[in-house]
Amino acid sequence: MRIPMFLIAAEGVRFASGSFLGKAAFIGVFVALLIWLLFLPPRLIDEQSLRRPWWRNVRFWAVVVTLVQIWVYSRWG
Amino acid sequence: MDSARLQPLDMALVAAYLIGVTVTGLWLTRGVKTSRDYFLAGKTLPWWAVGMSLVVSDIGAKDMVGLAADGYRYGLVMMNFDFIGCAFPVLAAAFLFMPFLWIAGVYTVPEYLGRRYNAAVRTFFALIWALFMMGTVGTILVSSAVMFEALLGWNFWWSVGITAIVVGLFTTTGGLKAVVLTDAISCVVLIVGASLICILGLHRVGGWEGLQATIGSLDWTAHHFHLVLPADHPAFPWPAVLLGLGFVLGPAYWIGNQAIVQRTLGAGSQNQARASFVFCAVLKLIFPVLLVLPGLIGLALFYNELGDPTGWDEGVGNRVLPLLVVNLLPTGVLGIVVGAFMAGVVANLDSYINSASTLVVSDLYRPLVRGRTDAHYLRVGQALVVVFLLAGVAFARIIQPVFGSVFEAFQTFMTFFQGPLLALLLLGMLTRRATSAGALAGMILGVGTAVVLNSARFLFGRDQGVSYLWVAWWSFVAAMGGAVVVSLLTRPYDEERLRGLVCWVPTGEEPQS
Repeated sequence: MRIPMFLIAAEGVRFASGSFLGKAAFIGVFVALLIWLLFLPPRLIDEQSLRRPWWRNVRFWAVVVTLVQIWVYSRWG
Repeated sequence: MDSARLQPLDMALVAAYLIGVTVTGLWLTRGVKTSRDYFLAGKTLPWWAVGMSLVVSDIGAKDMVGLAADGYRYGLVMMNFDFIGCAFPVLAAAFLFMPFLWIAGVYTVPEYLGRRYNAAVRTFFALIWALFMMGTVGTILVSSAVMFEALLGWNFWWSVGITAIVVGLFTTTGGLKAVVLTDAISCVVLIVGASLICILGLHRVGGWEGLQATIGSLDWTAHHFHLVLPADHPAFPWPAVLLGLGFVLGPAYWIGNQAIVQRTLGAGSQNQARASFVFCAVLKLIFPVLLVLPGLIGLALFYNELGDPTGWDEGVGNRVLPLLVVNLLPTGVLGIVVGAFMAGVVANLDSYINSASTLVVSDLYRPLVRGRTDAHYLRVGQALVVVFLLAGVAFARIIQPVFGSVFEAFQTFMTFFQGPLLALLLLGMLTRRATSAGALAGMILGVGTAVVLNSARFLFGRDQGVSYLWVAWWSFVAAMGGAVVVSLLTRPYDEERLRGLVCWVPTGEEPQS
């Protein structure tokens, strides 16, 4: 079955202007932030580059905040 | 009007809060000996107190009143101000930008810009920040007066006077330490009070399902339970929210706002400052719910009284929260919530006044009047707290009739210069190539763009105006473009001049204590 090009184009416009693309963009920002946080060098996490227990590790808590944000935008975006 | 008188138990709880905060604040004035003690708390602040202070410096009375009104009008989309507009920039600031200001050993953001570019950029932003903070103090006083009028029957000037006296008492003498530690108390009271409104309100409307069903039955609330709205939405199209709020207003606020930065500079160490930002991001996960949900509950409960917001006159939206408080809360709980509201007012107000004083002394007075003793600058800082309070009181009366929503007023103030400020900070911190000529060009172009775009609302009416989110974005783009082009046309700085000020240039020395 062939789908007319104008239907595909119209659907593309609807997709781009609709909030689905927006939801993906918001989630994408937090996914990028998550990846950045996971790969941050230790000197940017701690002045002495020490390994601290998870509950005193600012990287851990920053990742938790980011994951919650991804969930929030996935659920309510 | 939605007014109610507090019962003796409520009055006792409110009085306990006010006395507790004032006594704590006054007690903390004992350690203030030098200007460094006053403006940066002697760099002794613990991370948890700074984190809580960051939250209540951002969220105060204006947000409680304004976000309840806008939650009624627009729904969950208002939570973006604390999600994409906060969590993202706060974490970026914690790990990337805060260390620069810390290592540079500055008191203020304009001081950093002065070292990175020149004195003209420093003076320009210091003047603009001072004016902005005076306006902010005005918006805080307006929103507190609305609430106190509804709850206590106080008239405008009585509300403003009482607020100014309580805040002035300990902010004048105690400096940043008194401000931050009383903010921590206020943060706890604010969480408890706002939670009580949400819990009792949800109970009244039949829980979350009841809330959704009631609001869903109205024909104009199709987007009330979505954070991301269509690109053609008239008020909050998602591209404007993402670009204007997420990429400009949020980062500019959390990286470049003096009231925010000053708290982290007062922390005991760089690690403590970083932890305070992350703690703030954790707390900010719950605050959007606590502030926007009352608006939705107000819509479900008082739609018959308040009606469709498209037909609202000026100031009607500011009645949403007072209506909820007056009609929902029993004796005792009402006292806690009024205490929470006062906590929001006090914490917000003291933060801005303290920071305004720091900024004027460090960036305007000290460069002009050199060679005086440290005690002299300390006394000037204390006197400026009183001046800013009085100026804010005067400004409050001007703001009230002009803007429909207090929160919108606050955002409009910010758009005039937040975009250009962020552009100069990013270029200054992340590139070697940015020069002072480029910074001046970017600053003029960015602020000019914001003025032109913002003027549409005054020339053609509120409905014809450009959304402040787009104003923020385009002023940022204009400033960035102007700064980049002119910087490339002028001679670059040598590496020695940039040491410790730019990301890719090693400091070559120990951080200043």
